[in-house]
Amino acid sequence: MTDAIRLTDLRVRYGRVLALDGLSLTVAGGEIYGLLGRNGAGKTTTLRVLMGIVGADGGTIELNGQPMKRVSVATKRGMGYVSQEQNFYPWMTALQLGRFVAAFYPTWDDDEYARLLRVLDVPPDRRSGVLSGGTRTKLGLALALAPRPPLLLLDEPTAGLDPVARREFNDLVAKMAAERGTTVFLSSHLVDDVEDIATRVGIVQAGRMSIEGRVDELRERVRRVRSLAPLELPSGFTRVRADVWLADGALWSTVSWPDGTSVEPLPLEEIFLAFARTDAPADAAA
Amino acid sequence: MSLALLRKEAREHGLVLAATFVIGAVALFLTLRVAADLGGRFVGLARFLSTIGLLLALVLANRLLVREYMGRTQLFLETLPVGRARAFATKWLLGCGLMLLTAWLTWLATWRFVRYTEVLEWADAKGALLCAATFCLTAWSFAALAGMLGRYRYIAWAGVAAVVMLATNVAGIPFLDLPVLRLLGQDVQMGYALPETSAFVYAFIIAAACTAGAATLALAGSGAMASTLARRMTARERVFALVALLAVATIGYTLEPKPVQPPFEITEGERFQGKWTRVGVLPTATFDAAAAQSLASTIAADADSLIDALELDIHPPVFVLPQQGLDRHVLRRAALRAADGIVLKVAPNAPSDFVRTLVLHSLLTDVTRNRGMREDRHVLLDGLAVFWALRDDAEGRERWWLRAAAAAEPLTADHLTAWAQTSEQFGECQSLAIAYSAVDTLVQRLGLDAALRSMREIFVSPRDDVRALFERRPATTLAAAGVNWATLAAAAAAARQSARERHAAALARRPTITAAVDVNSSTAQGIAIETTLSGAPRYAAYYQVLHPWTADVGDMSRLDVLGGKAVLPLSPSRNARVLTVIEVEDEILDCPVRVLAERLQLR
Repeated sequence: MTDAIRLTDLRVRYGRVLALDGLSLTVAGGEIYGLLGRNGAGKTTTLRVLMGIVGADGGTIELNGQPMKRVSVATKRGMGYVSQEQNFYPWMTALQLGRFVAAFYPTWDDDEYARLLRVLDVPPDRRSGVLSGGTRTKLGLALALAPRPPLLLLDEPTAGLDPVARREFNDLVAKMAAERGTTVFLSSHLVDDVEDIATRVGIVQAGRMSIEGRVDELRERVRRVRSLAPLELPSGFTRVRADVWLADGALWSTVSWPDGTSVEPLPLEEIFLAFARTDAPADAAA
Repeated sequence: MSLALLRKEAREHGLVLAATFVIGAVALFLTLRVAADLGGRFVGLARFLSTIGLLLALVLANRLLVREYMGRTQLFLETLPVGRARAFATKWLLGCGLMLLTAWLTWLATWRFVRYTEVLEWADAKGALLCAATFCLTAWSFAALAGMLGRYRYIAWAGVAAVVMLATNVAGIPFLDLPVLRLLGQDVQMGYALPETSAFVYAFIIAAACTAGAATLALAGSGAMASTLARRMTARERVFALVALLAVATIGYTLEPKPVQPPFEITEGERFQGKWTRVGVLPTATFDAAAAQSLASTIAADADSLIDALELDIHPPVFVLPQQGLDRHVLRRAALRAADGIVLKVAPNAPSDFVRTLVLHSLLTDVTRNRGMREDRHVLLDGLAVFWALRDDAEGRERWWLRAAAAAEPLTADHLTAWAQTSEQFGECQSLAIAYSAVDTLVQRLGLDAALRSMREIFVSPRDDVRALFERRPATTLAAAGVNWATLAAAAAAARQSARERHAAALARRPTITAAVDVNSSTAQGIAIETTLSGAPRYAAYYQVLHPWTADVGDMSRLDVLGGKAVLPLSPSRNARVLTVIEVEDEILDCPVRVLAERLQLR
């Protein structure tokens, strides 16, 4: 199956700031990919490159197997996007916003939009400026899904939402993706959100990919090792932090651990904390 | 163009733009009514476009461009499948279309209005339409560029206003000859000719440059530049903008050109035409024609010789109007509103040297556009006026040295450079005498030629351009001649001491006069200011309430007092400040002498 997204050695520079420093990742069609990273790690820039809002200074972008220097307007018609801030025209109601956005998408489905507004409990005739943050985010999701895009890009959409709203949002995204086979690329620093719905996860740090893989696979590869004596582990093991090590899943069973040593798998949050530090090894996955 | 965006703009700004158009229509109607009285066919069109037209461009740019970026809705637009260039082009073309529509409607309304009263064919009117459309296109292009500058947009507008001000005030370019504004020039307003082709070329170049700049701001750096510019000004930027505005305003004020006014017409009295100066003196019953003719020729000789000595380029008309009933030492210069010239009202028996001094003083004040009365040179202005009036009058010079010798010492450099305060303390006669003593001493030390060289530099007609900001200070000029205020004050004091010795006998004959001013306050009668004088049978009390904004004490109210005590006819409020002055006629000095000058703070 063709990869929905393939980014290779992507570089983006804002003046003197290197926002993306050779980022590479792959998202298979139909999967939900979670990009984790601290603030300023490069998550939003990655999404802005995918949306064609920002041009890349280097590297390659492939969408559905089509290489491109910059994402074109035509390509954007096959994408839905929900950003962390919903900068809608405050004087427009949800219905007016729908009519406005519909003009830019040939695949726009009015019935689907109306259904989404009902499902998401978004009042259709209230101005967006008076809606709560959570409702505006849901409205953003409805606008993104109504054209039935094959690729949905979510840039920290649940930041600022209460836990119930976050759970509702995530459930809906997971459901839509499952029903329609939509590829979802989700960026967040909220590990729970990603863990809930993502099938694969990448952790980005300082504009580079630190580690990437399925959630269960990451748990296999990254473990905490506590030992009374200093440890000398064979090649294939990489120390991420003082007591966190990275190795292929199979390697862990080949080591005979001395007495008093405990080896335990880590939750995704601990893995994120280990790899999102600025001194963590970059491109560990490679 | 994007139709969806156009519909959005129409819904978002329709009401505001409709209201703006209605207001514009009313303004156009009023403008046309007023312009009808001025005679030109397209005067109304030009006036409307150069005011309301520019305002409309500003409003359109604010609504279409600034609002999108400052409201951050541009970020939402960028997530939609519409190109950044297409979105910008849609907005720019919409604004341009509305401005061109305004030009067309304004032209059409003007044409219809004109056709009520005269035959004006399309062939004769189409030129004005072309000019109006080009003007509106250029105005919108600039407004769009300024709008893309976000928080700096009003600075851009202020910058253009400053350039226009400098071009008209400094370079002397007529307002309607400036690029773009030339399209609304007199010939277009009168409807008899088109401006030259270059006027259109300049306008199109400016429009193209502005449009390219606006597009660059919208598209460069993935649109980040425009988004960054749309942020609010920082406190530092606000302060900078304010300081820059004040600086421009100060420069504009400094460079204010001399208003061009016709010379005062002298049609009456005894007239005398000097080399540069025309003088008229009106004879009266007590001031016959021969005396008037004599005074006129003397004044002309004074003014001509001073103009030659200081190498001035002026031809001042001078008119002296003797008026019965004036005190012989009260000389007044009449304010002329619409003409240049020196018109004096004096008593028929006014001392000739005072009249001549006032003429020369007025001449120097006018040529320096009042800069001669700045504190760092006022003493030299007063002194030079007296000195020049006395240049061939040895007896008169001694009389003024006697007046100077009577002044209370010490008089330091500070007295010479804080001349307003010194003049207030000593009164007109003695302060003129002190100034004369300083200038005469200066001439003695430097020689007449060197002294006049310095005066030529100090009493120059100020330039109308930025060079006015770099003129030398009088202290620097004097230092270059080898004199400073301290040495001049000391030498003048020595000269006055010498005069005191020469005129010891006359000075000894002066009566001893003491004066006082008291403030009496009571609940029943309020505040009363009482003056007391001993040693003279009569005196004049002058007074004026000083307000917080009183910068210059002008003509004060006068009370002539016979006897020793008087209460000023004044009901000041508590906490008021009152300047009170007592002067007596000094027979030895032959002029009024100020005995007391006191600023009272009433409690």
